[in-house]
Amino acid sequence: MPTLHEIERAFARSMLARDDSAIAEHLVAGGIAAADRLCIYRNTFASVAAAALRIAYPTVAWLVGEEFFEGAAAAFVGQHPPRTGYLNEYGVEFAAFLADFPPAASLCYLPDAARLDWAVNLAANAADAPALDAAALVALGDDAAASMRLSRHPAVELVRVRYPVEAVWCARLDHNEDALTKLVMEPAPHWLVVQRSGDGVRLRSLDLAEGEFTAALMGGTALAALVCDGTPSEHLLLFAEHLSRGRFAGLPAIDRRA
Amino acid sequence: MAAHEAPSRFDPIPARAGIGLRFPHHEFVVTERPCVSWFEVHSENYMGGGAPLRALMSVRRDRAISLHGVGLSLGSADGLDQTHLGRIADLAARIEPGLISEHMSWSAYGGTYFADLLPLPLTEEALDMVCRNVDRFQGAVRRRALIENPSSYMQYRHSTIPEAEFLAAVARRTGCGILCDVNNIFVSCANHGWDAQRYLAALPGEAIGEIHLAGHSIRTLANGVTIRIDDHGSPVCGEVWRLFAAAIDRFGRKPVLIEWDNALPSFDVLQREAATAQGILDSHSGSEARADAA
Repeated sequence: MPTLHEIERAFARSMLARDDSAIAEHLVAGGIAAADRLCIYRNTFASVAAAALRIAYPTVAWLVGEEFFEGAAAAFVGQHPPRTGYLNEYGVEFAAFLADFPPAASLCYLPDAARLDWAVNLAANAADAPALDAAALVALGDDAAASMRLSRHPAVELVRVRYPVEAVWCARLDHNEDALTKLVMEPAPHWLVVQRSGDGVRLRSLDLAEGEFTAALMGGTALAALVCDGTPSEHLLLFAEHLSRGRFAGLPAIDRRA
Repeated sequence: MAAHEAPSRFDPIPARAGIGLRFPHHEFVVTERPCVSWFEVHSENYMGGGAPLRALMSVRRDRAISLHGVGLSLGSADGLDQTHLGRIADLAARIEPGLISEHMSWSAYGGTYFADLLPLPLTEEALDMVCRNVDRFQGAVRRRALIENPSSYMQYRHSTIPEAEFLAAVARRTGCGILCDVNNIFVSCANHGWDAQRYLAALPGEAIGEIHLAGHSIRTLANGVTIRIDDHGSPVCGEVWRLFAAAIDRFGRKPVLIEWDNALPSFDVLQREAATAQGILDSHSGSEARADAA
C-alpha cells in the first residue's frame, strides 16, 4: 500500500509536470480515464492561480489582453507555482518573469507596469497599522529624534521604474483606452510612492534624487544623516509630506520610552 | 482528546439559513444591511488589512460570522503551514467567529500549494495524519472546528474506510464537528456510485455543526460518461434540495449556508436561495423549530 507521502508526491508530479504515470495506477478506473480525472484538478489549480495573478496584475492584464495574459500566466504558474494558501501574496516573481518572456519583448514597459501592480497589490493587502505621529517624533526631543531610524508604513510601497507607467495605471482605472494610444513611453527613470488610502491606492511620483532620499528615509537610515543643515529644502518639504501623509510606521513602544 | 469549547463571548451562528459573503457584495451588505441571519466568509480573503477587513468588521457589528478556510491543507503529509495557521488564528482572534471550518482534503505538498481541495486516500494512515492536523488547527484557534466533506472526482484503490465513517472518526478522535456539505455528498455519490442516504446515515448527527448548499455542473467527457463538478456557479438543484430535506430530517435544525463563488449573481438571488433553504429547515425540523420560526 502506498504511503500518504508517496500519494501526494505522485499527485504533485501530475499537477506540476503533467506526468500521471505514478499516480494513475492508484486510482479506481470507474469508466473514466485517470488522465481525465486528474485534468479536472489540474485545470482548477491553473485557473485559480491565474485568477490570483489577474487580481494582482490588473494593469498588465489590461495592457496585453485576455488571451496573452492567460498564456503568460500559464507559463508563469508552471515555473513559479504558489507556495502558500494565502494567494494575495502569490506572484512576486511575475515582473522579472515578464522581463524575460520573449512574447512580451516588444512591450518594453510591461515589466515596469508589473512592478507597479505588485506594489499596489502589497499596499492594498497590507496589515492595518498605526502611522508615525509627528507629535510623537517631536516629543522625543532633538537628540533622540536625530538618532531615530524610521521605517515604511506597511501600506506604503516604494518602487523605482524606468517608464512612466503610472499613466497607464491611471488610464486603466479611468477605463480610458484612448489615453493609452496617446501615451509616450520614453525611458524616464523615477520613483513612485504607492500608498493605500481609504478604499483605494494613491500614487506619488518622485524624481530620482527624491526617490533615493525617500528610500533612505524609509529604509532605516538615521534621521540625523538625512535631515540636517545641508539637506535641500525640497527634501525637507518631502520629509514633512511623508510624515503628514502617514507614510512612516508608528514608533514601537520601546522607542517611545527611549 | 478533549473537545475545544468556544468561549461564550462569541456570537453563535443561529440554526437558520445564512449566505456566503463575497467581495462584489461587500458594498451592498455594508450599506443596505440586508436581512440575513448570518454570513460566512473565506478566511483567506481577510488575512490582510484595508477595505476587505473593514467591510467584514462592519458586517460583524450586527451579524454573526463564520470563518471558512480553503488553504490550510489538513491532509498534507508534510504537516501544516505554520505561517498560514498563524494567520487564521490571528483572524479568528480578531473576528471572534461563531464557527470556524476547513476541509477534509489536502492542497499542499513539498512547498507547493495546489489551489484545490485534493482527495485523500481514506486509510488509517491518512486518518492519523488528518487527526493530528485537526488537533493542531483547533489548538491554534483555541476552539472547536468543523471539518467539511469534499467533492471528489476520483477514488484511490487502496482506500479502506468509507468517507462518512472517516469523517465520523475524525470527529470522534479530535472532538471537532462536521460541516456537512450536502451538494458535495450528492456530487461525490453521483461520481462514484455511492448511496447518498447511506452516507447521511453514517454521519453522527450530534457532530454536525453546519450544512452547506451550492450548485454544481455536469460535464460530459469524450467517451460520453458524465461527471459532476462542484463549481458553486448555479442555483442549488432539485436533487440537492431533496437530500438537504433528508439531512434535516436526520440531523434536526442546523445552520445552513448558501455558497456561490463563480458567476456570482446579484445578492437578491442568494437571498431567494436562502429563503428556500429556510423554508425546508422550518418544515423539516419539528414543532420546536416551527415555533422558533414563528
